[in-house]
Amino acid sequence: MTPSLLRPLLVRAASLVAVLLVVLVLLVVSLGATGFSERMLGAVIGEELRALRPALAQTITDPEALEVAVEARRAELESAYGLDRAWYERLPSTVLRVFTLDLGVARTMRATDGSNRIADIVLERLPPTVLLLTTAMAITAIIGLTLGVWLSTRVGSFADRAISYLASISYALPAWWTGILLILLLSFQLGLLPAGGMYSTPPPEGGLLRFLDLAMHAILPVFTLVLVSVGPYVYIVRSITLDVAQEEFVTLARAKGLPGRVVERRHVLRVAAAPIVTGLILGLTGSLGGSILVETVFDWRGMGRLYYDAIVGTPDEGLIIGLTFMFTLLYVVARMVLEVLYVLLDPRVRYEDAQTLRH
Amino acid sequence: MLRWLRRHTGTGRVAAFALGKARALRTATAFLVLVTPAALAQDYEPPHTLPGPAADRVLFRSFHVDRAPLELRAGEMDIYFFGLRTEAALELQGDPTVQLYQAPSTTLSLILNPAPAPDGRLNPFSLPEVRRAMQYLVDREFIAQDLFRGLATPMVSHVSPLDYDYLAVFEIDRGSGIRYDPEFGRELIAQAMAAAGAERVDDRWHFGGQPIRLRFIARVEDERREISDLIRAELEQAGFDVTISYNNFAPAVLTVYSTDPAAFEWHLYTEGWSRGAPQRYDVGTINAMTAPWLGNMPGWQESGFWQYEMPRLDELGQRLFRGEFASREERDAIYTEMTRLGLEESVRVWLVTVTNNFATSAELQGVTNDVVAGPRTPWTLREAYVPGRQDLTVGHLWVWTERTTWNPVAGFGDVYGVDIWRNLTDPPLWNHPFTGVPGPFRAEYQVETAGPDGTLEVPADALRWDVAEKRWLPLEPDARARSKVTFDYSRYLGANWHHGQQITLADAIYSIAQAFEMAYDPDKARTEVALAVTSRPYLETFRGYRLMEDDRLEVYVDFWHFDESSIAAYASPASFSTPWEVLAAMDDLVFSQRRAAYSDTAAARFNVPWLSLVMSRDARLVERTLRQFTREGRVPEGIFDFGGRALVTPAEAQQRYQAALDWFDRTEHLVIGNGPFWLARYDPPAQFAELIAFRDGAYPFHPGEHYLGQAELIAIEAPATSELRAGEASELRVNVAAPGELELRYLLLDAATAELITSGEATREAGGVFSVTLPAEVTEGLFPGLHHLYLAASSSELALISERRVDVEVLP
Repeated sequence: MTPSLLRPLLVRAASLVAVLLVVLVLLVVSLGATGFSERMLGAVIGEELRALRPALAQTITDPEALEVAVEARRAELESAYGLDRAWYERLPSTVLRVFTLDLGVARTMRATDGSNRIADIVLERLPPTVLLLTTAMAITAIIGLTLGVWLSTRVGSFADRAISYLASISYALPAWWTGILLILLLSFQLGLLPAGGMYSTPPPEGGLLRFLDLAMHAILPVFTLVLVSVGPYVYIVRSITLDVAQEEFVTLARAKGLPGRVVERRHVLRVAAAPIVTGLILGLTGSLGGSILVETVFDWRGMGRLYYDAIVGTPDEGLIIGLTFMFTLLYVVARMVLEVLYVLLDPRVRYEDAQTLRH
Repeated sequence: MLRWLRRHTGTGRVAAFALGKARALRTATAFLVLVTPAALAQDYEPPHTLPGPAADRVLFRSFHVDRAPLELRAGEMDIYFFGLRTEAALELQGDPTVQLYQAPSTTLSLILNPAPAPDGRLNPFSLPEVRRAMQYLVDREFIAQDLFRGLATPMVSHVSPLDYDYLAVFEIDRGSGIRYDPEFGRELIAQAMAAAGAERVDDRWHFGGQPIRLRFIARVEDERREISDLIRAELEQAGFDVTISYNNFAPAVLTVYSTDPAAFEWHLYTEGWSRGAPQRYDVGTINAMTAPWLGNMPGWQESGFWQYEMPRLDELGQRLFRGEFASREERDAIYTEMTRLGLEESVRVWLVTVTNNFATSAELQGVTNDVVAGPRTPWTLREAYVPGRQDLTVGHLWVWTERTTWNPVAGFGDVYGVDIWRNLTDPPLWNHPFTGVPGPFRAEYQVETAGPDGTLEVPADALRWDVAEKRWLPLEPDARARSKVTFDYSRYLGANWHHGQQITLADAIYSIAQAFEMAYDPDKARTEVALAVTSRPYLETFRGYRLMEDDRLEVYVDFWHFDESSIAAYASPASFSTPWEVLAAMDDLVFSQRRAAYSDTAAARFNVPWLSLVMSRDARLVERTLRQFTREGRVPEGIFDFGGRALVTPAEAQQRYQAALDWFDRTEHLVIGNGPFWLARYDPPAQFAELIAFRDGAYPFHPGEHYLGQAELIAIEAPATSELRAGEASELRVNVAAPGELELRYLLLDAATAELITSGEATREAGGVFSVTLPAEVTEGLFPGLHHLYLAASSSELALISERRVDVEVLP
């Protein structure tokens, strides 16, 4: 990469880092200034104290002593959740900390080994999500690219029409509903695959055996995800490729007498690659966020459920900030990768000046 | 929906009267817990005579509640410990491969926001008359019979008609006249609203020229969604605009319990309450559900919030709470008065008691069904087995959650861990699953009391742990206590812990001293603040401990209850749940090394792990401490020198440490119990736990000894005649069948007006035959037509009561 390309890319990188900062500031303001954070944490404390009073009533028979005990517990909880400090003292320091890649500790969530470090929690949840969603995304992309490009050269054929119909059906299928149907059919009716969960009973203890068991349990959810996403993917690739194939420079290349394969590879696919790769990279990045519905249907403890639990289940301020930072960072990195790939993939993409990148 | 509309177009009052005129009914409605026929079978054959449980191995697995019925049918599990959804339970009801166990574990209520609105506005629920009118707008029968398809029982007060205390409040509750009568309810609302200055414009209530809009927070996870729609329709018919928000748990509690009621982010909300175990003499629930002081009424005792106030309820509730009553009658009178005031206030409108369904495979033997908690009792897995198989698979919603902590000192983080743990240790006492009364489980006891007013002399050789001196010291001369409980732990003392070491009195004595240390040692109390503050008021009532020659332990306590077993439960000093060496290592880790914490809050404050013995990461910390103890030859100072008896020698201590270390090497955790199973494996990522039978020869229990099966419910037979003549004395004979001492109360209501005519206690004749006598002076005032005679029967052997309605025709 030449220095003339490097500078605008650095500018773009700086602007993406600014995006990251803005996202975090907006998050902090929306959590803190609106009072949402206080209310959310207050609700957790209030619920615990409401349950604590009748529990203590089993042993403490003096109402005043009971109230003293409850207040002591309240003070402990408020201190533990950081509610003894105002949001503008508590949250900015959290943001600064996560900006230095220290995600901190969660208040209510924990990893299965008992650790409450957010990094540990994420590192535990990420691999199952990658196995499930990223694998599904990768399979979908491979099938989609192969089939989409192939169909773009056979527009109007029986295969094109048939696959278009199937793509519509695939697009219309809700993942959770398809998952339930497949569980009923492949697990309960035919007994071919496990119905859900991540491991067998009893789970294998060895490293490889355990991974294979996990992979076995991933087959059904991966199949479900591929089934519902491959149709639209094929159709999008086909349409993009077809659009490019109909452009004038492709016609010119064909008129110059270049062989069909060369035109397809050098002129059509290379140009069509940019939007396809954009979808692919952003899709792969997005897949790391997990899927709440699919993870719920298949009893899969991945990132989707983690995010959901952190916000809705047992609200956890630190985890919300940590996860938001992490996903924004992933998006920023993906965007940077794309900026570089655009230049490499599409011969028409060149910097006209130091500031502008034209597609 | 059509069915619902049909039911809500007529008026209950007119309909009931018309029905009464048209037919001389002899029908009866029984409000009984439903039991599928096979569950009544009490013939349990233990599979073997070895010590320990019936099954050799129990596997705990997680199954989502929606998939549980399919998994059960597919043979993936033998019992599901989590309550099924109503629809799923109904589907399984006819399935011969599945056995359902039912228990009324949930109650539903509607909480109304009684805060006064700011000037110029009106909150209808700030008017007690409108709140009371709401009692007539909810169709409890429809909710129970149609929404829950019969798997629920209507309730009027916070006391479920199945609870033992229902008998005490029978006249107040059933005789309140509360029924579904929307026309009457709307009338009451109209009167109250008009009196408050509201006016009805275009069929809508307005105040200060603005329409009155109610914000309704509706839960969506279960039938409460439909219940909310039902109530919304009634409120709209009564002239209110209703904005409904359908929420699940977190956003709902965030809105209702975390906002100032005076901010009016909600006006009404559909609450749900779980009940864990039967309780014969309730103290906590009535306070929580009616009295503001306990922090469960609007305002929640949160500073800065508007508070619902009702000093009389607070005063009565606190009397009940402190045990300021001299007899059961006095206690019942306080309880009844509180219930009456609660209904008068109607801040909570009670809806139904939901019957929770627990499913097992039909082949599973040995299930004991707690009358409130269902099969999730310590009894079930001790006796459960499938003929021809050695193992059992128990399904649960979760095995591990983010809150899971197994900490025998500060408690458990969630119920899922507790459901496993209960099978690993034997508690000294436990509430009986049928009577709700505390009773012996592995310990025996004798109670001697001079209460409520007198005291007993505490002997000079009784001791108390002195935190400053770090040793057991005699009490001050002339020390006295209200009660004395003598505990006999001989079924523990001859037996072994799971790591092979003998259970000794040192295990009990250590945990007593530990409790005093945490509460009163200034350094320890500063470390675990909440634990110290919450345990002090309890420990202050303990006067002293005396170890007898035969190893029985006398406990002197300032506590009295008319039920002696409740005194024993209160005074029970040790749980025998964990060997002393593990407790000592945990104490060292928490208070000396400060590398772990007992409570979640202390863990957050010191940024250390929240100690969980089941997690290898935390257990390893304890293991290192045990190694340190071994190297240093340490024995906890002073604790084991009890009245001149040395309970542990250094050699014994070394042996204990080594056994615990070996245990950790073998299992990677430090959950060492003494119960029928030991924990062989705990795998959180796989949501899996494996329990293996503890077949130690010294274990005192064998299959069959903890089997209780299904409670025999009280059956009330309708009287042979259900007609009586106005102006003539009448006697109705009622047969009641149930074990134990029986009581029967009756109540006669006018079917049309729900007016209470008379009530009383039926006279017991021979056996289970009772007579209900209605003298001529009562019957002469009766209007000819249909009347309802409600009969409520209780047994000393059961925490549930049974109620039956008999339709009585009064002839002119």
